[in-house]
Amino acid sequence: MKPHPRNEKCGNEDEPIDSEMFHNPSCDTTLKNLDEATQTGIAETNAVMDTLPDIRGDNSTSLPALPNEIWLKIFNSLSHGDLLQVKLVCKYWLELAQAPELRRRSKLVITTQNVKDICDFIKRQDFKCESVVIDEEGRGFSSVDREILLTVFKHLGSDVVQLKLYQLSSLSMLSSLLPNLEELNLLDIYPQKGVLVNFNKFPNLKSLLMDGDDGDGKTQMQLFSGFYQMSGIRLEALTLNVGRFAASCLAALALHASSLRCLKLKIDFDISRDSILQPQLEETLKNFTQLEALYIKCHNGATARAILENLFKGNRLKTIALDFPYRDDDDVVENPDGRAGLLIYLSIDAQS
Amino acid sequence: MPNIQLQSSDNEFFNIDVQVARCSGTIKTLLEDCGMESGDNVIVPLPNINSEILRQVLNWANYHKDDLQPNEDDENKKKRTDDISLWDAEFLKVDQDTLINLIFAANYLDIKGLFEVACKTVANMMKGKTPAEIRKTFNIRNDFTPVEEEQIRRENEWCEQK
Repeated sequence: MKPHPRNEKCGNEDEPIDSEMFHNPSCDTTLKNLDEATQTGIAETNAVMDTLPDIRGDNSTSLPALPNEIWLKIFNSLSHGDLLQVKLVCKYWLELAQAPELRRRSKLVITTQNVKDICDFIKRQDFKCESVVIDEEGRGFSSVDREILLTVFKHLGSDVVQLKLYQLSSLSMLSSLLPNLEELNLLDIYPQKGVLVNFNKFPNLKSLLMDGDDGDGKTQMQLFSGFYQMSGIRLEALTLNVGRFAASCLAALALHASSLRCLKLKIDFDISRDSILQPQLEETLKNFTQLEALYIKCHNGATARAILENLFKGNRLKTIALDFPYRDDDDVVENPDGRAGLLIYLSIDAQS
Repeated sequence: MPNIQLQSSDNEFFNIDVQVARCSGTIKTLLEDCGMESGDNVIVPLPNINSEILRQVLNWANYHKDDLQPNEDDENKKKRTDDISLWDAEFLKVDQDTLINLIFAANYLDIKGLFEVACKTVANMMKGKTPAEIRKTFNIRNDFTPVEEEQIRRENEWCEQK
């Protein structure tokens, strides 16, 4: 095959590869690699097509032959709603859209209405979900529903990484079925008496979200007593609403201070004026050696200031977000726009 | 400015500015590994890109040669698909085969900017469409049975966005 250069400058047609790069051994390798890469690309395309005997055998369809990873990249920029439509296009795309990196973006919401359907479905075919919400808001699960829920989690439980639920009793019922749980959201938990949670059933727990303000004292006592009994678990992320049960919250915070990398605190009172809690908080703050992100929502700047001033001196913080109603007497951070009630966001480079 | 020659699969030679060629991570690495930063007298064979596609890729690279390298860590920017520049949008008004071949070429040559924008263009062809409309756009046959389709629809109902 004779080359047909259009560009006149291209020179020697007969010896197009007579350049010194081909006498350079390292270059030979590179070119070989480039060629291998080409081969791999083709192999990948073939692999994609191999999974599609139906489609390929049918000449009336011609699905664009892109490698799996490129389709995944394209699907990754779709919204959740669009991705659901993509799953209904063909079997190949359904399989692709169930890739872990895409599945991670959606959560299974179990309600009283769908728990039976999910159970039937899960018994018949493989169904995996890393993120689950057990939505018992409003009407709680009946004892029959709870049995079904238990069956669902016998199939699903070992894949669950994130869980949000509303009833502590459900958590204690399912606790032995969640060995890989990493994030537990108890922010909207309902007050329930006589239920103890053993957090030690979740050896991989890294992140906990809880509200130390909601509910009655007894629920909080139960929750925190479980919290204090955590052994071997070192939380990396904690979201805590510090309210009426502030002392318990701060004690809980102190337990995990040295392992926390992300902390979201919501404080509903001026902690800087509390002669007992303020020293307790100061002491805890000194142990935040690993903290990289800190979010504080509070009702005045004095509390935010009290926290910021007492942080561990050699801290690794990269992000600090403060959210409090701005008033003239707050001098925590200069308000750049002079607007009231502004969310102030600081991004601090740990190096500087 | 030193030049470099690219050889397409159908043996057409393209004499281009090294700076344009360096938009391609693959060629850039090749030149660096061979210690030929200047690029003089170098011919790079591209056995799986034809002249038609290569011409378009080089057209894109020539227009974007002074762009900064996109920040790879910026996940938010990657997720957005409504940030395609007017020039790129016009450039990518091509038939589907060409678009797919451009993605292939950009992936092979490791031209991140072109790869991103071409993938986004394909994603935009799916947005807001029903499964039937998407099948029509990409000429895909529905290989689900009605029962299977119904099952996926139900499964979809149980799942929400995080």
